[in-house]
Amino acid sequence: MLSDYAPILVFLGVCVLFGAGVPLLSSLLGPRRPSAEKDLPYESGIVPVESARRRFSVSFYVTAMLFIVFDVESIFLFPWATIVRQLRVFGVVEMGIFILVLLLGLVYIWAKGALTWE
Amino acid sequence: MSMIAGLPLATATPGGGDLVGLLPEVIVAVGFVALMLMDLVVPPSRRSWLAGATAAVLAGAFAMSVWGWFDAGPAGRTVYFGAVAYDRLSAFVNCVVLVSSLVTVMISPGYLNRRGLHHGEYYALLLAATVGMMLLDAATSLMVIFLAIELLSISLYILSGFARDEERSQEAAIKYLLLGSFASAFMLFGMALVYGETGHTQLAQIALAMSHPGPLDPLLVGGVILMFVGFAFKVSAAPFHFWTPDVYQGAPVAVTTFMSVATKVAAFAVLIRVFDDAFASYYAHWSSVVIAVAIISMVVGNLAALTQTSVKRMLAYSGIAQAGYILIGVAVGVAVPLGVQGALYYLAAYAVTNIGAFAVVTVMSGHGEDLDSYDHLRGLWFRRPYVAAALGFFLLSLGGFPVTAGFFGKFLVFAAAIAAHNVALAIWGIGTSAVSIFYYLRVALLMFQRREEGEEQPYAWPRTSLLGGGAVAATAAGTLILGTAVPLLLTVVQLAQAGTLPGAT
Amino acid sequence: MNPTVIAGLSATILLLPILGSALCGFLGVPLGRRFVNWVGTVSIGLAFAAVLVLLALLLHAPQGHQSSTVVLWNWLSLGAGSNLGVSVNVTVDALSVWMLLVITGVGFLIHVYSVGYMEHDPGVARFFSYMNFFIFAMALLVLAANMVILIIGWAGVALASYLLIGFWHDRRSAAVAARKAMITQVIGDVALVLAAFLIFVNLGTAPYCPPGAHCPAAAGGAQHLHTLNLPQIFAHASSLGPNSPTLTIICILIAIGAFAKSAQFPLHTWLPDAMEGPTPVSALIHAATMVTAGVYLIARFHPLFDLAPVAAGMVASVGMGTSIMAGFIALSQTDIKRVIAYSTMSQIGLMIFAVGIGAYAAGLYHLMIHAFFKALLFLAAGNVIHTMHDEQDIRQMGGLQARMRITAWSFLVGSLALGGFLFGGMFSKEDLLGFGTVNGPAAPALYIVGVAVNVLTGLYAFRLYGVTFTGEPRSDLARHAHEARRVMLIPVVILAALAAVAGWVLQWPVTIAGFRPAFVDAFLNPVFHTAVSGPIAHEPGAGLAGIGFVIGTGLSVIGIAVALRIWVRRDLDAPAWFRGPILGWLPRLSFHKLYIDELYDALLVRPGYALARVLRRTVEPEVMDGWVRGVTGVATDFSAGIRSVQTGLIRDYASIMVFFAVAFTVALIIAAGLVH
Repeated sequence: MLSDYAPILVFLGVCVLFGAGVPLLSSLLGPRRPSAEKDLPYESGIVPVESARRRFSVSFYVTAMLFIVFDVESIFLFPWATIVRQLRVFGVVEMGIFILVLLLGLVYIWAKGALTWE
Repeated sequence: MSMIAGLPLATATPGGGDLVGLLPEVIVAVGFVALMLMDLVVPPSRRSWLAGATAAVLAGAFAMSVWGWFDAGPAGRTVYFGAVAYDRLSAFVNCVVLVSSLVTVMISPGYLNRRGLHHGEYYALLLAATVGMMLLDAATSLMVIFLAIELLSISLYILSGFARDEERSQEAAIKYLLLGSFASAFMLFGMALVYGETGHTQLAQIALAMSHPGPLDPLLVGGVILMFVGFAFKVSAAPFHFWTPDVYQGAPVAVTTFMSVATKVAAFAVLIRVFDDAFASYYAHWSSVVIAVAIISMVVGNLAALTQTSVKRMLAYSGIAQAGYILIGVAVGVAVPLGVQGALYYLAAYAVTNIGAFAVVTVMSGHGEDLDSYDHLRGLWFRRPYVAAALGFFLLSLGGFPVTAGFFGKFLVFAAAIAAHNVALAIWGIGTSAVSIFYYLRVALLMFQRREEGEEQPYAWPRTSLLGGGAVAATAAGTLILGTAVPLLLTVVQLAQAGTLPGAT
Repeated sequence: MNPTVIAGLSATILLLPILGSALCGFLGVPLGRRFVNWVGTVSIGLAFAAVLVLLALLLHAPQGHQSSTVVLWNWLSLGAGSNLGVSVNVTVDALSVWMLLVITGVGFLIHVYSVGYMEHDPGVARFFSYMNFFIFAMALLVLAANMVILIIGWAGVALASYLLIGFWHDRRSAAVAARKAMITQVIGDVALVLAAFLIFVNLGTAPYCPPGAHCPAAAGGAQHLHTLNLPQIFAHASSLGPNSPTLTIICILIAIGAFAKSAQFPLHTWLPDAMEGPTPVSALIHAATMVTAGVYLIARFHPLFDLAPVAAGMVASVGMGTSIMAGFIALSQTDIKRVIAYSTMSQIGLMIFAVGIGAYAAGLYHLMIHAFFKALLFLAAGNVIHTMHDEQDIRQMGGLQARMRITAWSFLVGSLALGGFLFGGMFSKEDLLGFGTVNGPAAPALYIVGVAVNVLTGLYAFRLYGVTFTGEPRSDLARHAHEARRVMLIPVVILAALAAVAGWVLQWPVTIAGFRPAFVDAFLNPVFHTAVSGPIAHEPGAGLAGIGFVIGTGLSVIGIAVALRIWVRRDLDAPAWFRGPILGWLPRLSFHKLYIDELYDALLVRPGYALARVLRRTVEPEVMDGWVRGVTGVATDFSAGIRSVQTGLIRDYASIMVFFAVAFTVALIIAAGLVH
């Protein structure tokens, strides 16, 4: 029973050892010659020019949410499509309701003006 | 393709019998979508129509739940392949949740108008949260439990932040969201362990698997406890209560009214279903944790409430303590049926009393900030005698005075603890409720304090509207009825208890 | 008797007054005086009608079916096998119907009278609300078949009495009197509650085992009943055995409850002060009904008292002692209502004596007759007070006979009934005393005291009548007195008729030999001659009863005659030979009520205050406050500790949650592993 999980425990131990060990080794062995450039946050090579705590427009958020919603919808549609024959009319109605609800949500946010980018 | 087609597939589809079992939930769900759309067409000046429509939806669902009580019969059954129960426990808790919702809708329009928060989404979100609670109290599958909890939580996260230009409200929402997700993770982890060890997600089968004699499974114990942690967060039992005072205080008080009662009721219903029935065979393992949490809640809730100076925070801590009392019933519910009955009675009593107390705060909250500081209540009796009398009555009920609902709630859970030979637990309960009298009466007495000569009125109480006054009067009447007509509800909870886990044989 | 009908009627009798009370209380002020007058009286009138139906059913019930206990409502039951249930059971039998007849019948007349008496009072809605509530509580008390319900009714009447004595709460004396009454009542309540505890704990089902006999069932120990339902209590009263100390204690506690309610020595001092209430209240509560509840209580618990002769003897002695004491005090009081109050105390002492010696039917017979003539005397006195503009001192009255004829004649009928000549009291009082010749502790010692009370009764009754109604008016108020309104006269006249004829009717055919009220005995005795009850009073033989009647009535007539000789058309001072040094202390003793109030003041009140002062000045700040502050200090510190954890920071909250979740889980897994 509990012994079945022993490999997981070993794996966990290895992870912790590796995760903690490598930075430790590096700080022990590596040379340290700090300079202004080296102390900058790493930003893919671009020099940071302003605070990272910048506000993004809320519209990004709404768009991303919409994307996820319809993304999930299509993910649901795939497995449904494989067994739609067995489910027959019930399956079609069920999925119809599901899509209708999502559609109503789209109508709602559209009418609320969430899709217009200021 | 042929591989998939060759798999054994459950080709049975749900039918009308399944739909009947979910009818109240369906009504509220359809109402939720409909209200969202209505908000688009109803002009802003006519937003109280939305409140009316919401009330109609809730009343319809209530009627269906009452009908379901009789239709489901004493034993009840499960629908949708064992995922949802159609039984008296769910019907009973549905009714409590729907009434709480209805009272909230009654007090909301006036309050939201005064605070400038009257947006249509409010009602839709309220209904969404209600659906989540109704599903939660009926859920008999781990999946449905989790979905229901998320549905109600997400709606409540948004509602807590409903006062968008108020920092406190925003803070409450983000705290609730983060800590709530945290608790959900615990619960999900617990569910995963339970599923992993038993191989089932449906409570009836889990109960069956757990009752098999065999070597004890420590990981299953871990799963059970982690699920309890998740539920304990939802019912705001200490030491998982930290979000409660901050969120209750920050959220608009109409929202607090709703969530302080309905969430707790629904979460306790599922807690009873899962722990006192599905996990009954592991009673010996989980009961000590439940008892510990009950005692910590009673002590922490009551003692912390002693030194508060904010009405909302005081009621939040009082809610934590009340959760502790209800947990007494849950903790001994496997050993003595009176435990579950007492817990259910307490739930109904708590619902009607606490919603009344918060409703008074809502109804008396004017323009600007909510009525919150103790000082805001000073001398209320001389200006709004009926409302003040009602609040005093609710506070007495929370303290457990006779002829109020709270007395019999406490009496029954303490009696259950004694019947289960756990006298110490009852003594903890009685001792801490003696402490609680202090802070309840302190607030009650404040309302009778006269102003000094020439002193400013501490708070501009608004006029009581017909609806708001009606809500307060109705909850006061309910508190009185549950405090005097005991057999009425006691019979109901005895019947409700009969089939907490339909399908388990 | 059909249980459904019985339940329906009892519920009606209970619900009508409480409904009336609620209507008057909540809607009385907005809807006004007419509404209150109608609702307040009609509710009681209808209840009386329901009682009459009950009476008819009872009279037509076949032998052996004249008692019916029905469950109106299962108020609280905690499942099968649990003893924590309480249900609203009512017993309808001759005893409860007898009481209900008095409560609703006399109560209805007094309610009608109140319409007139309270016509100028702004608090009339409150008044009728309280009065109806009183009728409800009193009906609950006499119908109750469960001790919890009985105690609720018992405390309810005390509450009503408190509210009504203090009805004019802006008068200091009324507030003080109400408080005094309440405190005394609470002593009785506590005694009764203690009795209920003892009964609950001790009463068992083991059959009564006579001493010396071999009883295997009893040897196994009694199976405790744990019930407060009266029929079960009575059925198993004998389980404690004869002369059981426990049963004696229970009975003494019940008796203390009865003494407090019925104003018996030493718990009697509240009753005269209770006259601060409006006069209809004095008539209803402090004469006809509530103060007789003690008599009812002992009669209802007769199966217990029958088995506890020591307690019963104590009851009889206290009753007779109170009776002569109150009669003596009544001789010299100058407040018209206080004289009647002491006379009430004295008459109730006789009833308590009767139930103490086991003459239950005789006691209840006098209870009803007394209700008629005492309510009559109070209402007539109310007419006098009303016309005298709230002057109650009889020294200011006199000569009212010519100015208010109907009231005066009614008062005369009442005085004769009280004095025990021709009317009411002559029958019931002598019947009751007749039992004293052969029953009670050291019989006939108490009987001799009883006939002495007869003399006193005649004396003070006609002193009051003479000083108030005859002679010359002694004040302007008395000179300008006039007859009362019709609404206040009709109840008085009806009561006068009842007081005059009730004795003759109930005792018909009247014969001196075998002087027994046949109807009353036939009606009430089945309640008391039951299988479970022990032996009750021996009936005096026909000859003895006849002699007793002649002696008793003769002494009453002597008392009346002496009073007429002294006080009618004369001044009001005590006769000359009582002013001298030898006998001068007697009137003083009487006037100062035997100095009992002063005694209590010196023995209880002053030491109480002194003790309180010591406690406040030294014990409280130094001993009590210390630990109280300590406890609250700890609680406050703890509270502050909890608050300090409430930092408002999500990271703190989350880490505490994680800590406890992990701690619980790990602890339980380890514990489970260990068990495993």
